[in-house]
Amino acid sequence: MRITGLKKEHFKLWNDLAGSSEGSGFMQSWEWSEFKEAEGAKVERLGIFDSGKLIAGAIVYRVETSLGVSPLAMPHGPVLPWKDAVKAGACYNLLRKKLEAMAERTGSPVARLEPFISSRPAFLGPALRAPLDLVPTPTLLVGLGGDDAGLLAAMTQKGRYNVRLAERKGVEVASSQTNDLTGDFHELFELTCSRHSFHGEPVGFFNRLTEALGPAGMARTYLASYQGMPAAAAVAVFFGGKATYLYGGTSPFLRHTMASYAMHWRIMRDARDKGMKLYDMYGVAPTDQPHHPYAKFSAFKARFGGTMVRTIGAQDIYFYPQLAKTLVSRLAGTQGAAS
Amino acid sequence: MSRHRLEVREVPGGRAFYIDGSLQFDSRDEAVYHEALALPPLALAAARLKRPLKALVLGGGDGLALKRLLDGGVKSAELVDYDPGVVALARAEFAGYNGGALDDRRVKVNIGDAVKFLAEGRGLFDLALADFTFPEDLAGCSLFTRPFFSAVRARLAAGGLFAMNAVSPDRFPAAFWSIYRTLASARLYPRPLRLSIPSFTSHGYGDWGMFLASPRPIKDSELEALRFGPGGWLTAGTFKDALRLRVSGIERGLPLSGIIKKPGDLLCLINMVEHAFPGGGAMADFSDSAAARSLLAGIPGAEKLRWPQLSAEWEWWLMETLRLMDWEPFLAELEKSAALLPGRVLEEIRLLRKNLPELLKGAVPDTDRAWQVFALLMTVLVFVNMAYPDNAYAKGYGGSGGSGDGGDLEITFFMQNQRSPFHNSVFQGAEVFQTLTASGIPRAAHFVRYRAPGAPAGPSGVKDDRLFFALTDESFVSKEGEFFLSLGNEYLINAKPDRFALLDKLQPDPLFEFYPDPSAVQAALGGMEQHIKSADKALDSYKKWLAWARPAVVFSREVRANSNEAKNIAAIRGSLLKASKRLQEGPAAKTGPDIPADWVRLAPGLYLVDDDEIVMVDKDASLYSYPYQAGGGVRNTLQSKLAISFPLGTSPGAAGRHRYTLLPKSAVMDKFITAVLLAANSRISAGDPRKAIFETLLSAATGMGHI
Repeated sequence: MRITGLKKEHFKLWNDLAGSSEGSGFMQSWEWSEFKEAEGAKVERLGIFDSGKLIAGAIVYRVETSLGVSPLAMPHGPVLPWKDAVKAGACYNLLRKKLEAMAERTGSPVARLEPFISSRPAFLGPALRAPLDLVPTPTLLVGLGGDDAGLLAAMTQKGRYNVRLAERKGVEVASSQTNDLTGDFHELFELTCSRHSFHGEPVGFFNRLTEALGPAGMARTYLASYQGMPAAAAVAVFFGGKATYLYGGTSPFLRHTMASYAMHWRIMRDARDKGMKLYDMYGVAPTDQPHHPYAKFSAFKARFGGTMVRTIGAQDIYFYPQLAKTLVSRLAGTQGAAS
Repeated sequence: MSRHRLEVREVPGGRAFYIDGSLQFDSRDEAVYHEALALPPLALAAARLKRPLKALVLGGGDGLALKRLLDGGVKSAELVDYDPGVVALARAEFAGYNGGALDDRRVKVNIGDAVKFLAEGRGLFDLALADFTFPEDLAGCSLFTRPFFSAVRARLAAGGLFAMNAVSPDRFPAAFWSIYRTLASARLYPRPLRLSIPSFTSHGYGDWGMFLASPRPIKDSELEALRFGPGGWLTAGTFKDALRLRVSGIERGLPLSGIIKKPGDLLCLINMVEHAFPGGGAMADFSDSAAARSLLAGIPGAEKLRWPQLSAEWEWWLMETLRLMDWEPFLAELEKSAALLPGRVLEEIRLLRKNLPELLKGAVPDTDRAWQVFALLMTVLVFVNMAYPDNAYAKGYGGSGGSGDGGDLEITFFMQNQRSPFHNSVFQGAEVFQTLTASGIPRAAHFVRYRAPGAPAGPSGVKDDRLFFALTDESFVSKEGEFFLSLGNEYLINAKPDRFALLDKLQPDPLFEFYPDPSAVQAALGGMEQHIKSADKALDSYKKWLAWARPAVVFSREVRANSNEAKNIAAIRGSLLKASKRLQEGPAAKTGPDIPADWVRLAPGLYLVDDDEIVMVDKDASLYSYPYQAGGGVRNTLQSKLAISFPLGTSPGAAGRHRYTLLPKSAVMDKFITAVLLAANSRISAGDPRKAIFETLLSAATGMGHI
């Protein structure tokens, strides 16, 4: 086995591998990495080959700083053959050595892994649970197998009722893979962020996201309207076997139209028609945490049925030489300031 | 096409301009910002260079800073803005404000990248202004780095001036002082400025920060001699005041600051946003360079290291991480790295090794030198997490707790017979008798009775009102246009710009009048503005729909509901407008106390100090101790409704333990504080170290019969 940097010609090979890995997700796709690269992140694409065949790897993101604190981030990664623990362990050891070399080169004191897996393999060794997650856990996965009747049957009774109510009220759902709907989406998104005191990305971010991922069919903006009034909007990402509800917003004045139900129902059907197996609602509150920031959305998401899945969350591997250098340089700096 | 969402909003008496939802200027007070940015470098360049001036404006496509330069008589000016949409708006919509500056014959407008312009051009400028949007991504942050400032310096004439818009020194102290250090490291000797811009404050941006800088140090005498034209906001007096910055911001920001070499350095610091805090406190005068130098030298870095945002949760997480770290190889690496440095660093690391077991128990006083190294390591780990921002990689949210030790897949099935919390018809009845919470759950609208400040005594001064619209789950606008914060089931705060009156829902008279919490007011104003805008849009659409459908009201329940909804949204809009106006136009609060960072805020104006003392800040910014745990019996409840009307410091019991004037004990306040503590306790997880503190207080209170 050998680990090496991937080149543009590996694009399809890599996407096929990441897309078919249950432990991965859209943030390990080549397109997402190009989007983040254009946003200013440093990106390294690593592939592990066994007898010439690509079997594992990781897309590693890093925001360059001179503070010596930037982690080597692998959201939705690394991509390993998780089901074969021996092979996965061997791949991980190769990857880890490569990450150590990258840490030495970049001064990063930590690598943060975030695979979409539910139990922590022993070969991860002393990795520590990180205080922050990029990939929300737990999350709600709604199965997309089946026809319309099957999908509706898997929802809660109220979910089904609201989907039909929205249809009866005449809620219309439009979608686009260009920026036609981004402005309307962002107004609702911003309003929702303000209502829940969340920080929201600027509209430019969504324009760039759609431009980067839309043409490949990986991202779509949805807008549900009632009597011509924007009532709910979302950005969904499609990769591998999974659609993800990445961002959304609703109008507080049009809740009675149940437009959000109509919109998610449409996303689910689009995803199924694209061959997706699951719809990831991207985070729900753990059932034992009523004050969790996502608690308010979770009851709504639960109406679509599905199962709640808790992943192992972000795991940190510390590189002690780099952490020591960073600390010592800060110590020296503060003493300099004091003198 | 513009890459950003540009919005011009009509505001009473003017217009406001937003880029991506972030306020750029409000015509009613834009003079404060643009005069402070443009006039000092202009006046100083004129005084120094004594020749017709060549100016450069980087960003600032709205033309408002440019207008000041042209009015001040510059010989020529170049403007470089990358957004053609902003420049087009400046020529059309803002021409009345910028006086057509962009089409002045002395001006050359370039659409393009400022970095490229600086690198590729050749001529020198006598003064340069940088008026960029707030740096919230890597591209934006690249305009605040040392390479960028060096490029600006290279295009300045000898003795030329540079002025730039920065960030709030109160909300982003580490970022602000990093920009200061970065300017200095690019040999642009900086002077910081602080401005209170009402429209910025009402958006929750805090006081704003700028820098005036030059390759040639700016002398105190030069600043003192500056005079500005009559009729404007900027005068010698307001300029001198702008040179005064809060010492508390310097103390918090400077130890965490560094030179911004890469955009990621600033992005990491920008993620360390702090909540707005009450104004006031000691000020540092940056018009006196000797005093400022001595102040900056007196911030000794690690020895005064504290991180106000290191909340109890973060501290808990970091301690857990530190406990699980493999210390032996780390300490060995530390000693290896430190061996190349002067002896003191190595000595401190050895102290750390010696004291590590106690440090990991959290049992060492924070004056210990080993603790300082330990605290610095914690800060580095916070930086690590801040350098991992949501917007750099993907979206995300704060961790949800748990040790993440793996285990089997956890699956919870959602039962199909669960009832939906969403379906409601709150806005569709003839009247709004319910409020819709942020989570979409309708709740009965509380009726409230209260006596407004200054209202006459007796029943005639009591107002009956209804909590009409929920801005969030905890904040409401009443039908009469009052703003309320809810504190649990029993208590409300009637929020005014100069006081937060605590109300028991059953009593019209305030129990106490707290010092107002500006961050709550600002958040509310932002929320109100968003909802007014949204209501406008909804009404606009309804207007068209109902113009056609209204005749059907008599037989169509659906249209009747729509019609009611339009009427109710209009009423809510009216209340929101009234509330917003009252919060902006009411009398301002007196200068607030400087609240130490380690006080635990329980509610607006109510703090827990040193884990056992309850301190209250009244509307006049006076601090009082409240003997929550003290014995001595419970006083007359009627008298105690207005606790501050008691003779102060007369409460029996443990007066000696308290550092501020002691309020008398009262059953009413005991009950209120117990409710606040119970609510705070229920919001935190079992592993949170504050839990033990709250429970100790509450159990002591139980012993006293408060619960």
